[in-house]
Amino acid sequence: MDIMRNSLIKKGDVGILLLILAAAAFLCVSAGWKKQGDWVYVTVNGNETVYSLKDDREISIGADNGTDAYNRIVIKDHAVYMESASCPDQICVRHKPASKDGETIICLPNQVFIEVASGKEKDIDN
Amino acid sequence: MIRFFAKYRHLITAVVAFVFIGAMVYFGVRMNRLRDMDVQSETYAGTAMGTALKKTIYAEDINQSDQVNKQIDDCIGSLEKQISIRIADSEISKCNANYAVDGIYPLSPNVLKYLKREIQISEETDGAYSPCIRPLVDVWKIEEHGNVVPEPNAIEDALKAVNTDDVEVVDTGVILHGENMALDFGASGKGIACDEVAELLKNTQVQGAVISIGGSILAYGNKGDNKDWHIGIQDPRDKDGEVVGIIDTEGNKIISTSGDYEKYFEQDGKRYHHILDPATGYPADNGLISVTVVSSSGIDSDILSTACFVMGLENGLKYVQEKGAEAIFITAQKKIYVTDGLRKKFRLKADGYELVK
Repeated sequence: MDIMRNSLIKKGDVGILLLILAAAAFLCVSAGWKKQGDWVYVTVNGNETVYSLKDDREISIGADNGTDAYNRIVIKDHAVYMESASCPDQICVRHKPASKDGETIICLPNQVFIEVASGKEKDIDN
Repeated sequence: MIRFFAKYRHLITAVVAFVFIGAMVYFGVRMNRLRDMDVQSETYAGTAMGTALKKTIYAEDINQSDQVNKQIDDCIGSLEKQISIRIADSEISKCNANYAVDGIYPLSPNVLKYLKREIQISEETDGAYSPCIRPLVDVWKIEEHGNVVPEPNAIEDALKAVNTDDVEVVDTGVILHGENMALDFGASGKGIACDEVAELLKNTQVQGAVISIGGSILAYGNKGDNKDWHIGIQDPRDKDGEVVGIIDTEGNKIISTSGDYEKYFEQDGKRYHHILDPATGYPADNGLISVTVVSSSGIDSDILSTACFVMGLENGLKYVQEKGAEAIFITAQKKIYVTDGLRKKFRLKADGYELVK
């Protein structure tokens, strides 16, 4: 006890420090709770499939309507992008990778929609 | 007793501090939760008017959002039945196919209202905008992703049918005074759709919404916090979705952008884009690569972005301000010109551009 009494740091101070740290940790966790899960919604001809944004993978959408139409979607490093597509305008392929909440990539000619729902809040509303 | 306090001074301080911080955290989180419960956003991606349609709706709950989402689709659908050239039996398509030269072709009051505005702006801009540019668009095969410059005589022939003076609006319909003419709402339709959706939203309970129809974006209401919307403007020389800057805008504004990057092809090292000058028959070539117009009228913002792109920097800037709208012009030298009203509302985000004061 003598050591404690003479040192600069008192028992209570350590307690306060720990409690503040605990409170801060609690804040962070509760903020994280707000938006759980990071998902990619891929809609092809009205049929929706959900993938995790956290797992790297490739999604091939092939032709089942007798045409050569295809789209290849890649999920990598917590972002999704159109790797290649058969559409004439290639607008979807030129689109930057999407990772923020509400971001979309659309292949108009092939009717493929990609939408991200993530905890990463957007700074742009459109 | 005093000794007790002295001994456990720090412990007591700690307990008080913990209770205080705990209370703050508790109410902080609660407030957050409450705010989230008040308004939540739902995003819907789809297509309309031959382009991407994206709706983000801020409403009380998902049922309300879903319901309004459907109402918006219906609203745009019925507008397309009036003015879309992509629908064979729309009012405009039928007019183009069946009109008799110098005869009155009946059109609904709604279509006539918009057509009148188009003609007015066409006159005010000395023909930089035309409501009957269709024959020229067809020659360039804009809709079909054409990638060849048409023969000069084909362009000349098409231009004979593109003359706004030959379009006359009367009470019951339109009179077209030339042959092979065709009305086209391609450069105004998305803005008109924003106007109609804004009207619809006023009759709903939704707090706010951002509706993107191709190059036209409606920012309606707010997110429940009375803060500005942040609307990203496409970087004309970067990937789709990369922004050149952000406009902070209050609700009930429509932001339309016309650029040479949307639909284009290259031939002999020259870029041929889809914004055609009705005077020359060729893509506007005056050093502008993107024009954004902010207005409380959707039809104005859509038409003005196209008209100003054709008019060029100097005349365009002058005209857009005469119309009480705000604008951002970007030149091929990557210089950005912003009207006074937007100066504090536009934040440059991309490298390599210069914001001209």
